[in-house]
Amino acid sequence: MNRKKEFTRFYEDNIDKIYRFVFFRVGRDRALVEDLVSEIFIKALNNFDGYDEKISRSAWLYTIAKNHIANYWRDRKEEVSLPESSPDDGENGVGLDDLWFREAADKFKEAGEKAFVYELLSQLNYEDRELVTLHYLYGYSYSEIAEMVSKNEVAVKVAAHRAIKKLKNIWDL
Amino acid sequence: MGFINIKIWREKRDLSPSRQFRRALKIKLDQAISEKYPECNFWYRSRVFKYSMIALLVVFFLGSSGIGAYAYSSPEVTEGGVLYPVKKVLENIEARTKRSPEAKARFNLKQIQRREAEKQVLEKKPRKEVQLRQLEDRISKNEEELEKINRELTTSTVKEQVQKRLQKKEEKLKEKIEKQQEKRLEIKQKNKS
Repeated sequence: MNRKKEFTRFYEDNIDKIYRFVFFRVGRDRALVEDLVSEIFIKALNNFDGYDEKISRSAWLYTIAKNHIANYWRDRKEEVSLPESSPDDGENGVGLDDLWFREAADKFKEAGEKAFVYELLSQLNYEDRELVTLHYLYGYSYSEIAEMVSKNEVAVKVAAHRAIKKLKNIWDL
Repeated sequence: MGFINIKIWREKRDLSPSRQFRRALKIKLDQAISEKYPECNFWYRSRVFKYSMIALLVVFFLGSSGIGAYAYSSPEVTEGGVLYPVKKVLENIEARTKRSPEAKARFNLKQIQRREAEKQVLEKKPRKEVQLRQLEDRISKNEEELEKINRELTTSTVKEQVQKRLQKKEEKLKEKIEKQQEKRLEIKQKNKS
């Protein structure tokens, strides 16, 4: 298969997931989401020679998207105050991730609709919330998530199941 | 659990990109891909493609205008003439369509007849010795090929005939053996009784 076909397939496989990921991170602004998603895919195309499906299926683009959004927030430093990362933060900083989540949730609440899921998710800890959003909201498979978080696929499956159970318990309370 | 799953599923559906956006981004990326990987368009840009297109157009023009038909069928189109290359190309194409030895033999015979007709035409014209020699060469080549095919055909028919005879002999032998076995059985039964 030539690189053009490979990239087209890569695009078809990832567009929905990346769009949801960005939408969730920057909140309801569709125009902004579309700009960011376009920029992410152009970036991916420019670096596509270094992409190997056998090494990483979705993690590669996910990392590009994460870094791109981090840059977007960094550019908006003056408008939004960024939280300082705690020592146990991950590579991209859990604190930053929390900020994205809060921002998105606030925007949904401002819009006065569909804030229910965000309110529930905000009750979960960072790891559980990440698993639920990656699998149930963005649509990544367990094997893809395992690749992203460098864990065993079975462990990811179990953790995601537990997280959704926690959500149910929160709902029942 | 079901209620939460439905809520999340609805959320997921609402988070999906619109068709228009997907299509627009696809077009934008296709353009960028063509710029990044120009080898994808290599075939369209290559000289081979351009020349083969020109050749195709010429063949199509000749075929559709009747010039090709005239060049192919007329003995007046002879060696050294403007249309003679066209005639040769069409004959080569025809030669490639002949697969069986019988068809090839018929085609070679036809070629000889055509060359003979051209020879007659050339003989009438003055100062055409070189062309005549070339034509004679071609005729002799066609004759050689025809002989080859004939040899192949005859050897294959002789083989077939020998195989048929052998088969018949085998069948007769089998029948004889069966009859002898039956006779032996009959004799044995008679002796017992």
